[in-house]
Amino acid sequence: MGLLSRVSTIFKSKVNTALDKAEDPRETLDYSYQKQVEQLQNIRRGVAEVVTSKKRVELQRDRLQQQIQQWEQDARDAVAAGRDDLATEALTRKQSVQGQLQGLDKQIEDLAREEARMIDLQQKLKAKVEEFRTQKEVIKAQYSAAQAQVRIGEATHGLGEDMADLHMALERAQDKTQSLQARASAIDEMADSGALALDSGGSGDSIRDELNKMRGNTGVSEELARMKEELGKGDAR
Amino acid sequence: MIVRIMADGQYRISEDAYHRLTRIDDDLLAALEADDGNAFHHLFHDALAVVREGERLDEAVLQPSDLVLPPEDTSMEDARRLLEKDSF
Repeated sequence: MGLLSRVSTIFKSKVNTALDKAEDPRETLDYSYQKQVEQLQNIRRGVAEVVTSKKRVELQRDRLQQQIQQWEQDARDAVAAGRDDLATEALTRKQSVQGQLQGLDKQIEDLAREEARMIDLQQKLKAKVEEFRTQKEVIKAQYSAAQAQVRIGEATHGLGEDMADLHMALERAQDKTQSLQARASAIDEMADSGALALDSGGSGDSIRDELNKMRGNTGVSEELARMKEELGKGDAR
Repeated sequence: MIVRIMADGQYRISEDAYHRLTRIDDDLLAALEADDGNAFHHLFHDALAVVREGERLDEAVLQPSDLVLPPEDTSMEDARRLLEKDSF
């Protein structure tokens, strides 16, 4: 048995346990349809929550972007006042948050893709539940109990697969949103407490930390020099 | 044979395609066991391509699948997690 067959078996057993075992399928058709409509509503709520959480993270990111601009302005003011030490501090913080934000942007983009996929799946599932509603009337009217058993089994399993598929997409998106939110909040808190200096987020590798710090310092002094030049305070470095 | 690609849809594929898929499937498991991410990536995309050669089922069709493939952006680590108990 290969990998895909194993994944299929696990997936199908999930679908099976999620489906009710019907005694007389024709009697339970309406109940089964009712349950599917409920599940669809749950999923719709879940998708809406993911969308809301993503918006919250985007707001946090916007707030951090404002802080970056604020530090940029602070640095300019400090340079104008001849306080290079303060300017360096402000620029260091600015660059540090900028670095953290870059990763966050990419994660938000990833999540936007998941979101689009989920909304697409949700639309399809809605159409399928509707199709199930039509088919169940046909099955009830046209088939004997034995035939109906087979037809209903196929239709419910087909739909069950779609439900399980969307459910898993939703779980993946929820996981991603949660970790994204935790990360955004952590950056937000660090930025708030002013603890976000370049050496605060150590990688656990001292050489790497030193290199990052060196690169950061180079970036800051370059930016400081540029800023001084713009403000006509260049000190011919 | 009906094959589902999760987060995509269902396809009807020929017997011949199904046999090709089964062969790739065995290699996929071997790649996973050998922890060969590169081979896994290529084999998985070959598998997706074989399925997509088939005829895409209409959205309104309600039919169970013979085989289910994980979403197309599944990495080897994702696949490993899928095989773990209760991961679904």
